[in-house]
Amino acid sequence: MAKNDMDQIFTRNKMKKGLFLPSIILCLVLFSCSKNKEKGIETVIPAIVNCSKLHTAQYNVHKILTYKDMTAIEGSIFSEKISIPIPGDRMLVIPIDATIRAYIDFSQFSKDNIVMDNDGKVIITLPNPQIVLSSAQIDYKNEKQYLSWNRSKFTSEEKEEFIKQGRASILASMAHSDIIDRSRTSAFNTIQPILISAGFSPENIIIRFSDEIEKNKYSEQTIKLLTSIEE
Amino acid sequence: MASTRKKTNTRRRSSSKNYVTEEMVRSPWFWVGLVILGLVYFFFLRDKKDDTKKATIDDAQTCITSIKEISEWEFLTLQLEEFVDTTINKKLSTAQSAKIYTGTARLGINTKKANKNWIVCEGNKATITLPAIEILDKAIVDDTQTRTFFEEGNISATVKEKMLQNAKRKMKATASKKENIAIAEKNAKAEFKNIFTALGYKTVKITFKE
Repeated sequence: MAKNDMDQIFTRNKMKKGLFLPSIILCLVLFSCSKNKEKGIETVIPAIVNCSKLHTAQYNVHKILTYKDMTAIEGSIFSEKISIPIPGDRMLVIPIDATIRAYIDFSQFSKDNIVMDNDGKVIITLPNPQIVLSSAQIDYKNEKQYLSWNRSKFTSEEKEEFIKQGRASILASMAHSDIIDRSRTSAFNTIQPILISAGFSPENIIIRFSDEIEKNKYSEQTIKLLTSIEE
Repeated sequence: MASTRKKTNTRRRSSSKNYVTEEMVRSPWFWVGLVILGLVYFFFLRDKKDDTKKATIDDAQTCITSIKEISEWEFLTLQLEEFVDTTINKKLSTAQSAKIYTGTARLGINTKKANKNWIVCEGNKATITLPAIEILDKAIVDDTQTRTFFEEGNISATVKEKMLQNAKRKMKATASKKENIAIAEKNAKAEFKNIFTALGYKTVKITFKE
């Protein structure tokens, strides 16, 4: 009996050992399957910001980013500068279309920005317009790489770095455009009809911007109106 | 004796001019060394960046293609990120790409879409009918901030365009949710109430155009 029992336990252990290996393989297969499923996971992280911005001007711009890689490796050996020429070319062209918007931030707008008198005159002081790169698209169909046989392709990281530089360059170039002036005119064209609807006559409406007050640029008309209000 | 001296002198002169001598060229070790140098150059140095100099793009002009005076009031901004991946199976190879797209959805009103008499003021009461809340810049995605998470093989321009459109579609769906529209409406009401109260109106009634 004891011998039979021992035999049974031995065969059970053998079976357990026999099941051990397939179970590990099954686990590995299952884990590998779950990894494949993870590929399709979508990450959405929205950051919601309450705001009040009056967008007044929109510029659509086009920029062709060009890059020509170095033609020589420069370095130093034993404090001697060396330059090894690299034969062949490695060039990149990326066209970008972007939308730039100018806006006036109304988030700090309050009673303090409005001055009124009993004669129906009103002065509204608006914050200075700001610009933002609203959206951008890379023209993939016209993106080109010119490579000699001995040079390597541009990596995604390299391209992303150049595109970032292009973005900064677009925003910097917009500072020299007339977008801010156009934004002011457009803001006037939006706010004035609202004030007319609110019962003010067009000749009694003055809309000015913070930096104009700082520069004290136009202000014969404004000063006159302000003094008349103060009187 | 004299002739041998002459020969050695000429050899010395030639060796002072040429760094590579005939003897060196005849030696197999010279060729082995040359091949090793070539391999080192090809695999390690050919596109090695000089760390002291940052690779910068050429300074090209930015062309303005169109100018538009707009009158759009933004009341809610959603900073969005979308992960899009694709796999293209070809006969001999497989191409894969996974990118993270960044975009900004701006919810607000376009006052140019308002009715002619959208602001009616009588006595101390102002009645305002605002146009419906919408996504202001439909393009949403800022592709200059796209990050490549993984890329292998040759991904065509058409596939890249499709991935971008896919990200844009997902972002639009997220932004157009009822909850977001409701928040934008609430903010719009608060802003117009603030302006008209500051202008002296005691009762301000705000509704949205259907």
